[in-house]
Amino acid sequence: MQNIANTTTGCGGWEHFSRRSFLRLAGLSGISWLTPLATQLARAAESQFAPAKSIILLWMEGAPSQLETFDPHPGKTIAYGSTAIPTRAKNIQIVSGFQQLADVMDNVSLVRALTSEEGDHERAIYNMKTGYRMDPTVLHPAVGSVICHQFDAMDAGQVDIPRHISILPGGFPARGGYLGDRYDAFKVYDPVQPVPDMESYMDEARQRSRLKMLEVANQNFSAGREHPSVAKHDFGRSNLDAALKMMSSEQLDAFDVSSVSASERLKYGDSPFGRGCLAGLRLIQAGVRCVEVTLSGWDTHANNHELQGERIKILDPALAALIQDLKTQDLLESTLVVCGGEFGRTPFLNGVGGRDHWPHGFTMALAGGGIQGGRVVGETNSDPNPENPDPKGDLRDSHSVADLHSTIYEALGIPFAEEVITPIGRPLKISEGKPIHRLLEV
Amino acid sequence: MNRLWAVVFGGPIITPVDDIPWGEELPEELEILAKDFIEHGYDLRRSLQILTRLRIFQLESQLVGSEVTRDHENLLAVFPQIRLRPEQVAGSLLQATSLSTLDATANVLNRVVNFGQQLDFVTRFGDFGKDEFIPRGETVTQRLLMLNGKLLRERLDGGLLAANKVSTVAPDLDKAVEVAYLCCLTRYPSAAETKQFVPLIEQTRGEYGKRLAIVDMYWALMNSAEFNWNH
Repeated sequence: MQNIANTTTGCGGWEHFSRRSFLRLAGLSGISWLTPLATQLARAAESQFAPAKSIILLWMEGAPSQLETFDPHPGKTIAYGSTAIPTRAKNIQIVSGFQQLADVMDNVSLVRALTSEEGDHERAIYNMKTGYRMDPTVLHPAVGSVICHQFDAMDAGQVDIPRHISILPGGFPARGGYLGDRYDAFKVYDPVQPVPDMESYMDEARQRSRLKMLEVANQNFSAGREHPSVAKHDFGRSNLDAALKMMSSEQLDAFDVSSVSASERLKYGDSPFGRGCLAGLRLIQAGVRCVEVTLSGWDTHANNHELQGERIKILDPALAALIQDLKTQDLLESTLVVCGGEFGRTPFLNGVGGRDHWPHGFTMALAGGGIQGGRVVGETNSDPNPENPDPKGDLRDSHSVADLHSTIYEALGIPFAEEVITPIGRPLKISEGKPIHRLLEV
Repeated sequence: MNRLWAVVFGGPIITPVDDIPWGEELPEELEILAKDFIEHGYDLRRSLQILTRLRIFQLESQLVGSEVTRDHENLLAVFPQIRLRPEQVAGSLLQATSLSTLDATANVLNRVVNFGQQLDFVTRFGDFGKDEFIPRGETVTQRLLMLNGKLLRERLDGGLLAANKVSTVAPDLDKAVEVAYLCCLTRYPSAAETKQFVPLIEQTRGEYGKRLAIVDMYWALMNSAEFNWNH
């Protein structure tokens, strides 16, 4: 249930004008919460202003070094020898190794002085995926879960497969939080393998007979019992229907990249992550709202330069091909691609050539979905003082993780400043940040 | 004590379980339990004994013949229906498909095999971790794992385990249904349930067909809400 308690006016986004007008009208006419039909009408009114319809999150688990990826400082002490290359975007340099990405950089914008309050992987991942810091009283939903929840009415009956998918899930795949487990990301692995548990191992007649028996076994358990603990609770019956529908759906083909020609496939690189990105593209075509593809191995406390370089070899072809293909297929305008990790890495090398955790200024790359390419927001210091007690003070035009979330929601036309009543009765905004309008303004 | 209470009664006194307000007056039962716990050297066993000797613990946990409301759950008149934890689902699957008791006295090789199967299952099912008392539904991943997953397939269709044994030794179908209910749901089937299951098994062809149908009944009971939810 949407259960929107309040429509604040703090959002102020230009994309929201139509939807806001509708909401205001709804308010005046005494509709205190949105029915699915009303949600649909509001979305339709708004869609022309909010081009993004789905999101692909390329999740760099372990935390990439901003200095060895999107925010190089060549020739400076903190580079420790890392070099940079020019790109198709005027005034943007990225680290050497991103040769293919450099060619499509005019589609990509960078938020270079992002800050987080968390320096521990688990807490920072939670923060980056949900936009909120961990709180013992409430589990926040990940961005993909929020998006699926917001588009529930519009997607009803349209998509047989889960709309929120995590390919090659890392240690902390996206969760539905207070929206419920049904908004958890559906986990799949290297797309050369079949989707796990998707095929019945029974012949059709026996499967039918099993399901008939299951009906008998289920009929008495919840008879006459409303379930107070879980809203709209049906003891897994809707999941059974969804699972059976999914098992026979043609949309399942989207997971299978083996039908794609070898040359198309190899554009993404010969790696599980590359294949994951290709599957991500196909899933978006099939109507999926959020795909998370994880590339782990960025936690380079030793031998930083070499290990980051190896990751870049995997990321570069995949990210570049994804942006290119989305563009060729006219999907880039409606698909927001976000690439980054939970924090950055120290500007100083430790004794074993590693960089440690650094939440005080790191980069997130965004493309498509209404993001204007070739822009840079924020700046990190080329010559920071290692003794500085306030490293965030070194940044220019910095933004918080919550700001990034609000920007994503703004691009998707989601009224993030509205409050949602969580199951424990506490109203919470979808995101508490301020959108970075410079990325969206034409 | 709030967490221990939740383990015993299916829900904490204060929600959420780990968020006890600091410096505020707490419900009396929590104060009494906490005081006793401290005074007796933090003896969890003693606290558990106290809780299980309470009259409310010993009362019937179901309400028969009347509709359950939110008040019934809040006042502990019924046990709340909550999901089993992943390792509980896996453990129940392994036990229900085994003829002997799987505990510390079981054959060590058996225990190693079971542990491996349980671990695989829990990984795919998704571990709730410390969030086990947060009310939750089920994911489609979990449903697919129960419908088509490796653990059920190996345990049911492997040929050596309980379902297959029952299918060969049960004197009649009524008894086969009864044993399946006892194995899977630890209760006798109602007359209505037996009456519905027996013809579904009977309609299959030949002795072999009936044996397979009994395995199918196990599968259905293990996929049922009653198997997967604490109640």
